[in-house]
Amino acid sequence: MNAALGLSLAILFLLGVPIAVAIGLASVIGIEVQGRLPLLLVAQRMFTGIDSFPLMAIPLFILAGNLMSAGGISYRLVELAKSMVGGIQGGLACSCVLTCMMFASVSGSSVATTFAIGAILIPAMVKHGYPAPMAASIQASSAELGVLIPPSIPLILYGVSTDTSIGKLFVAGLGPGLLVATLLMVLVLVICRVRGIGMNDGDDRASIARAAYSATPALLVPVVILGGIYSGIFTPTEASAAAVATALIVGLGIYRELKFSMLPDILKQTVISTSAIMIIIAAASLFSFLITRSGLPNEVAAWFKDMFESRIAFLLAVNVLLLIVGMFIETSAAILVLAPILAPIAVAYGVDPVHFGLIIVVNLALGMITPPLGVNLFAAAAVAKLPVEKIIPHLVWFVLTVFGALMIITYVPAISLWPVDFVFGK
Amino acid sequence: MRAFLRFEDFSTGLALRLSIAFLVIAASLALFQVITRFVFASPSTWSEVITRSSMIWSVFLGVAVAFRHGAMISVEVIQQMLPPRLGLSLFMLANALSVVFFSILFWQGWAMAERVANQKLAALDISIAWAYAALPVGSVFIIIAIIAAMIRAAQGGWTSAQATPKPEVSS
Repeated sequence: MNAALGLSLAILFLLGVPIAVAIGLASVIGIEVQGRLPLLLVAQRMFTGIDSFPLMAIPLFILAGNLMSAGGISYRLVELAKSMVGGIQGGLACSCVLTCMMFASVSGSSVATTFAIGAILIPAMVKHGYPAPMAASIQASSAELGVLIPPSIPLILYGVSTDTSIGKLFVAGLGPGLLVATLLMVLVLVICRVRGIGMNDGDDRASIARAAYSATPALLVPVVILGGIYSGIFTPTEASAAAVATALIVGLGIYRELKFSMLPDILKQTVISTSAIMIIIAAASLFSFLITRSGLPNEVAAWFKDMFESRIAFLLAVNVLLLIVGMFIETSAAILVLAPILAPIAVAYGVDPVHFGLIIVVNLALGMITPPLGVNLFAAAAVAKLPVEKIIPHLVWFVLTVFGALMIITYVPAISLWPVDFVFGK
Repeated sequence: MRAFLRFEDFSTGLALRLSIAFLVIAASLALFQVITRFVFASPSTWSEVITRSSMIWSVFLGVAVAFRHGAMISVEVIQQMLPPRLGLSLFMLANALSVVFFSILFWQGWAMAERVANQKLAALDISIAWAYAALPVGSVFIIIAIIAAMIRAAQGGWTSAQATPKPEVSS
């Protein structure tokens, strides 16, 4: 059955069948080839796969993010970041990283981050003399922080599919998020120095006090989300509901840039994004059920044990596997199919499941800026109105930097786990 | 053809409105649950069940809208690399396979709804079949939306649809 599953999945992917349908059809073929399981499983597993309260956090975080983008948060965060770090050479590029970091704390998606922040900062960087492809690369790589800094849709998926605490994963995401952000800032500053760009980045920016005053309500949302989760008041799903309420209050009542007439369109976008991802989750839950029943995870685990003796070698092998997968496969599908297989093996090697979740997500985040299937790359190219091929040569240093961060995050568990110990206690 | 496309405008529009309605119900109930837990110190037992079922309805109706807008996440590299005629054929094949899948889901979803008709949703006097019905009902809307997408592609909408990037917010 596994051969039939794998082969049909690969062919269906290549044909361009939607990922959810490809996973579902491959499972149908697997069931038929195996012959003893009822086809009724298709409906049953696809239903129970999304009949989950923790998963409710995904549509609600998407909705909160959309409400905040429409409610005038994006440019206020940009102004705040510029007022903080924009004064030096390359300050605008630095502001891009910092803004993405702040926006990531209201959004769980890096593509959404690219669209929201890139629309403002890519044109601004081009105006200040940055080459357009470079501006797009800076934006595409900074937006990765969207999935590292909580809330994060991929981390929710990992938590649900491996039974790991989403609250702990969210706390753990802070360390790697800050590390990637710091390294990216250093990188853009060095690039700007070497190439002599970004000399006048300090022009036209507001004072820190004014920018901070204007951005304070926008920062209420992350305070509600993160504060609520970290203090143990909210579960992630409850936090997502509270985030929607806060976003509505800030957008409608405080900034008054969100209008009731905009709500239908925001809801439509939310429904489309939500359904497109939740149907993948439904299909993947059917697929994982079949894979688990077939005993494949045990075989894979045995194979890993034979091949790799130490934890170091195992983690290296997993990184290589995930990097390749991340280049070709969409993030949520990759997590839902691979995490339930790999996480138990990692635990057997003594890797903490929370730490392992971060390794997986950072890997796949790197896949978002690498061709041929880098969603951030496509998004940044669309915002910058450039063909993807023009951006790729500028990406090399960014990819190497994030790769460096990935290695540090993989082999220094404390970066992910120290915040967890700090918040939840040992 | 034109009559079918007009019908699809109506059916997918209906799916969109219903999907939004279910999302709003789910979001409001999730919020309601937070409030009952804090203000009244006793979490309501029925709201979580309805939240989950509404979400399932919202998703299976929303997939029809996602197909309509070409927002279903897929690997399109090969379709785009091929010459337009071949790419279009591949697009048609991929959509035909999607119709096959959602027909199976309609059939099995219906069977599943019949089978659980006597079971009640936890803490409520409502049959689980009402939640499971999202699968067959959603599948009908989805199949109509896919066929309409194929007709529009055949009428020349395919190459222009390929040129516009889609804002996927999932990853």
